[in-house]
Amino acid sequence: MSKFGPILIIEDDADDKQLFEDIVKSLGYQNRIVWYDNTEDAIEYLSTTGDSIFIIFSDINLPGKNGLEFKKKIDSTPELRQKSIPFVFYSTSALQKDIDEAYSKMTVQGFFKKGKDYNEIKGHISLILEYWKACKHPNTH
Amino acid sequence: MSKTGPILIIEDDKEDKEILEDVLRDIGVKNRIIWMENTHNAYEFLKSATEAMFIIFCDINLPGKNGLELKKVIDDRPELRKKSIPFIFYSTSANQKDVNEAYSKMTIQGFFQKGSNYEDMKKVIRLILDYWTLCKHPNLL
Repeated sequence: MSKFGPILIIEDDADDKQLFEDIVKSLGYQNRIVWYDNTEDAIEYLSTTGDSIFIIFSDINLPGKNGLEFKKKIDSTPELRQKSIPFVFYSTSALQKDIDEAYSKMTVQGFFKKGKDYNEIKGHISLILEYWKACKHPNTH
Repeated sequence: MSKTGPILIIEDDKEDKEILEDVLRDIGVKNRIIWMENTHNAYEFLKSATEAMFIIFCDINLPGKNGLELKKVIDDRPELRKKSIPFIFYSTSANQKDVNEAYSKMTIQGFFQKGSNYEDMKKVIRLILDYWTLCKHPNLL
């Protein structure tokens, strides 16, 4: 985790990803954005990259293994868990069942429901990034 | 975890606790504030509490077991872990060793260094509360 490291987005909807990227840029963040549309590729990236990632935003409903399974995989893989990357669910659907599972079966740093319009989404992304920017970070890779 | 539930402050310095309380009231927080000055009492309180808490602010350096040890105990006790209360370290000291340990050996939702003046503190506390208010909460207790 590094404040200047890439922001990883796992999102299967290209439009949603584009909107997210536009918002991050418009907020003035220079961090590189790394995008995967499925969790298998995201795991492969996390396992092999030398990047110190700032934060992970993951959708819940994804093709193949979903966001919850993705997070469980990170938690159960010591070298991925060791990277201590803040993990936030950012999802259109926010079923109570998924929220309960996210908090009780794994360790998440937040679960947010996607905003309805550009300004709402911008407000959310701004708050989440500011929070993790203000937070003290570990010295890990 | 409940947005309207009490806020638990674990802090051995009475003045620091009063400042944090002032900041919370100044921001307009209506939640009940519960203060414990050591981790033993905080642990006993959490075990017996029937109310869903909103958030825990915990200092690092505390008499007896320190903040890091308290968090480990919570993680190890299924009935406490299941309460899924966001756990934030809020400490005067933020040495890198403690920050690294907090992220790698346990599951935390943030690690913030106390601001050096009232306005800085207010900014950080507001950010923390806004974040966890926007966040979707589990319904497990």
